[in-house]
Amino acid sequence: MKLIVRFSGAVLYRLPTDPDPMDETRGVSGYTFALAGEPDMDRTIRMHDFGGFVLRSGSPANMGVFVTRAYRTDAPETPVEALVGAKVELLGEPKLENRNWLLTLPGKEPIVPFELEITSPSGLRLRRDDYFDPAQPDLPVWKATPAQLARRGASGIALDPLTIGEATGMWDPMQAIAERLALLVPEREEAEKRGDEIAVAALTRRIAELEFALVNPTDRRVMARQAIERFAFGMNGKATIDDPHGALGGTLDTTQPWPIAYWMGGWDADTLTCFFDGALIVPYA
Amino acid sequence: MTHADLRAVLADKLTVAAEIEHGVLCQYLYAALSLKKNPEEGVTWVQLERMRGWEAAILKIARQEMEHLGIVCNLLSALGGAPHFGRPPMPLPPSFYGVGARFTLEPFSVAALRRFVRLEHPADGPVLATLAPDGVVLLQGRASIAELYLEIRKLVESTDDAFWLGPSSAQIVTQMLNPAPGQRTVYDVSLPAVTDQKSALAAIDQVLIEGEGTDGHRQGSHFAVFHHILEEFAAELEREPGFEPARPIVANPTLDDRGHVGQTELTAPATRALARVFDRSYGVMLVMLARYYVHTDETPAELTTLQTTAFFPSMTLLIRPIAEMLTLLPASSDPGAGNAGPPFTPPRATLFLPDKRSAWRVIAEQLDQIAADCAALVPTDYPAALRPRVQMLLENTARMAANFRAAMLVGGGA
Repeated sequence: MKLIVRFSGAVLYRLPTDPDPMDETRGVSGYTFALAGEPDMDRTIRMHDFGGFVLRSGSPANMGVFVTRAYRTDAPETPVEALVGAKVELLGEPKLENRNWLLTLPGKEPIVPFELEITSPSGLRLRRDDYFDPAQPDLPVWKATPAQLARRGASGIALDPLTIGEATGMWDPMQAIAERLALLVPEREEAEKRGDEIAVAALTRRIAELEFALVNPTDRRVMARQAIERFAFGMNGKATIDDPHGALGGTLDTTQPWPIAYWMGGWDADTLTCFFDGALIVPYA
Repeated sequence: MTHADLRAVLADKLTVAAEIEHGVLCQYLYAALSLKKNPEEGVTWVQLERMRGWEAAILKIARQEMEHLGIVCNLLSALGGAPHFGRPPMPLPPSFYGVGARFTLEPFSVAALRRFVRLEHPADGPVLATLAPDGVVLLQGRASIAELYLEIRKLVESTDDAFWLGPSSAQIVTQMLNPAPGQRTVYDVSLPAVTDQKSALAAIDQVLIEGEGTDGHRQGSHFAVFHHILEEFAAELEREPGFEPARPIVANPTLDDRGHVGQTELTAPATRALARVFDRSYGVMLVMLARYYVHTDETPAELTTLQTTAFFPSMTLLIRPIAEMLTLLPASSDPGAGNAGPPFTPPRATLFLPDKRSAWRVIAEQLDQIAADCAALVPTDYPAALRPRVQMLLENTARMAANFRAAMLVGGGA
């Protein structure tokens, strides 16, 4: 028997883009930027704690990754309602690491560190880490072998309008860009009226990037909106389970790897958000 | 002119063109990377947004100058010559290349922009009136780089297809720089193959169009972009006369204590240590580029390793971050002396290493030394803002060295 936990939601991901250096903080040569008045980019995948960053206008209405469905694979399936709505979080300032193609090619990078935590308001908590090498839990990413990176890394970048469309409702990236422009242009006019020069400068940059995308439909700014990266591996690190009310209906096996499969995609370079969707499969002891 | 004469003259002029493109791109990088990044440096958010646009535009031009250097190397290979990555140290007087301006590493300024406009000036256009007051601009030799390319173009027009000797396999083209198939440009860089007179002329025209534009169509050319930045900068100075977008970095920094005229010796120990890493990185990158462009018996895998070490990540994880870090460090113990900058010291030694196996060992050794030097930087008392980048240097250089050794089957290492 296994516990299946489905989760999804929008995340904040403020990263510089090639050919900027991987640790560029403001964004210069790529197509992502920390705008006027905003803090530096931190490359961190943020599912709930946005690090003090004020989400840009046009960001998804419901930010954050949550459990959408959980059940045991009995016959028939048994829902685990206590997990539905639980907060899904990657801890430890997780980052996609290819380091300007030094560690992996684009689309093959792993998330580092990978420390998954699922917590419900009722106190139910699942936590599992993944190590590049279980014998060396502290092995840093820059010392991981290509095989270790590939195990946790994505399987490539794929254009997948169906997956994105069904998950987010966004089926037409050009329409989405046009709608965003229709939102930002009056927003900038309002900023001009109130004399907010910083907001005007930031919105001017956003509008310029969107206008560029609108006339360059094969540009990264457009293509990334329908692209995804898929990941699948068995989490092999330390596991912790708190089930104070016995909601899981049994004891989970913390000795075997926990398979996880997820994708990230629908990258919106304007709001610096993307979608995160996946499933965790936990065997019972 | 006989083929022999034509080949000799073209090889000479293209070698000069290679040095010019190389020298120009270093100057552009030096100016672009001197720009301030934070309001704590005495500029407003609104100014920073404009400055980001300037930096992005100049870095794009610098990438295209790298492309021009690549095109010149392809032309040299095609005529039976050798790609050229050497150049003399700066500063150089306008008379050195005779293209209308000094070659000098200086921070972003009105004077620097005027020099850049002058260097990219159309061959047939009038020298802009705005350039006249600048004392560094001398009407001597050619009016601009474009004139040199027009001379080269005229010589190429007189060739026939039998003149072009180099095999197409010697050419470095865009598709080799990016694993994504079918992409014509990679980050604004497009490298065409040169195999005959027609492709040679097209390659030269590409350089001319990107640099100066064509008559009536200057928009987007390097000349027009620099001119536009100059106008925006002038307008900002009119609004705020005290506006200073560049960090106060010295001109033509050097680690050499022999004191060449116009150079500034970096004497602060922590700065010198980082500048030494920069110069070693720059030097080994040139060695790799030379071997890449002159490739002979390399396997496809070896060529890929050279490419995936010399471009990304050498340029993105070594050259640019270290250059930016140096602009935040003092040049000397004298607080009024200004900050440092990347020395871009050209190696004296011949860059092409002819024996492949020895070349891999030499490059691996250099990469190991860079990694060791970076590890030694970690305990140094750098400003807090720089420490994360010092740690990144340690990690990334160690990985670069290990990747290179593994791919080239070179034993040893850390």
